[in-house]
Amino acid sequence: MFAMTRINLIMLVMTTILFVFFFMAFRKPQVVPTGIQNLGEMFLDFVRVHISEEVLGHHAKRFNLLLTTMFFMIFAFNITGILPLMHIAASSVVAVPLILGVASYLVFNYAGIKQHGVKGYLQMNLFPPGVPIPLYLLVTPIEAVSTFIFRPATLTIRLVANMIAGHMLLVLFYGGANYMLFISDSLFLKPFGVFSYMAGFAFTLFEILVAFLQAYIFTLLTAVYISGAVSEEH
Amino acid sequence: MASDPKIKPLSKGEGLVWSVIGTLVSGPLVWGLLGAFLDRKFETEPIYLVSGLILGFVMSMYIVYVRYGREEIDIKNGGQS
Repeated sequence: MFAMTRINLIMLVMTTILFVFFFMAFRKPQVVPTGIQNLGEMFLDFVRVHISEEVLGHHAKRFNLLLTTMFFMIFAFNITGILPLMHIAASSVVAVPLILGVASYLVFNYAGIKQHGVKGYLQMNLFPPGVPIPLYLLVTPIEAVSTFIFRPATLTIRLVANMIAGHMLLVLFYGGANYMLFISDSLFLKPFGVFSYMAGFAFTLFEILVAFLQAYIFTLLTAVYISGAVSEEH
Repeated sequence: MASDPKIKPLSKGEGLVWSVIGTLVSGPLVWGLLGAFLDRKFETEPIYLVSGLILGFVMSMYIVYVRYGREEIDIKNGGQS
C-alpha cells in the first residue's frame, strides 16, 4: 500500500534536520544567547517581527506559532532543490503545497468566522459596502470565487509552479552543459557548454533566493488573509 | 511593533497586489464561464462568452475600486515609499 518515495525520504530528512536544529538551539536557553541559540532566535524573530507582528498587529500572538512552522517547513522543503544528494524540492509535488494551502484556507476562514460569526464573515467578504443593491447580483459571485476558491488555489499553484520551474531550469542547464562539454564530439559546442554550466551555477544561487522568497510570500499571504478575516473595520 | 518602517508598505502592498489580481481574474472567469455555457446551450457562440468576459472585467474593476480605490488616502499616508 505504502511505498517510500524519494520525496518522502527528503521530507523525513528535512523534518529531522529542522527538529534537531531547533532542539539544539533551545535545549538550554540562556538569557544572553550564544552560538546556535543566537541563530535560532534570529530565525524565529524574523518570522515574528517581519511577518506576524507586521501584518497581524495585536493578533500576532495567536497565529505566530502556525506562521513560524509554515515558514520553516516550506523553506526546508524548498531548499532541498539545490542541496547535494537530494536535488529536488520536496514541495515540487503538488500534494505538499496543496495541504499547506488547505491549512491556510481553514485557518483564515476559522479565524474570520470566530471573529465575526458566519453571517458577519460572509457579509464582509461577499458584500462590499457601498454598492447599489442590484449590483450585488453581479459582484457577489466574483467575490465568492476570488476569496474562497482563488486564494488557496493561487497559494498552491504559486509554490508548486516555482519549485517545478526551478528544478527544470537546473536540469536544463546542467544537462545541456553535460551534453555539450562531455558527450558531444563537436568542438563548436564547447563554449556553449561552458556558458550553460555558468548559467546553471547562477540559477543554483537564484534558487536559494526563490526558496526563501516563496516561503516568505506563502507565509506572508497566509498572514494577510488571516488579518483580512479578523480585522474590525469594513 | 513596527520595528522596520521599510518593510511595512512592502508586505501590505504585496497582499494588496495579490488580492487585486485575484479579483481581476475571477470576474471574467465567473461570467465568462457562464457566458460560454449559455453559448453552448443556445448555440450563439461567441456572443454570451464575449459579453460575459466584458461584464466580468468591468465588475472586477468596480470591485477593485470599491474595496481598494476608496482607501487611496490611507494608502498614500502609510503606504507609498
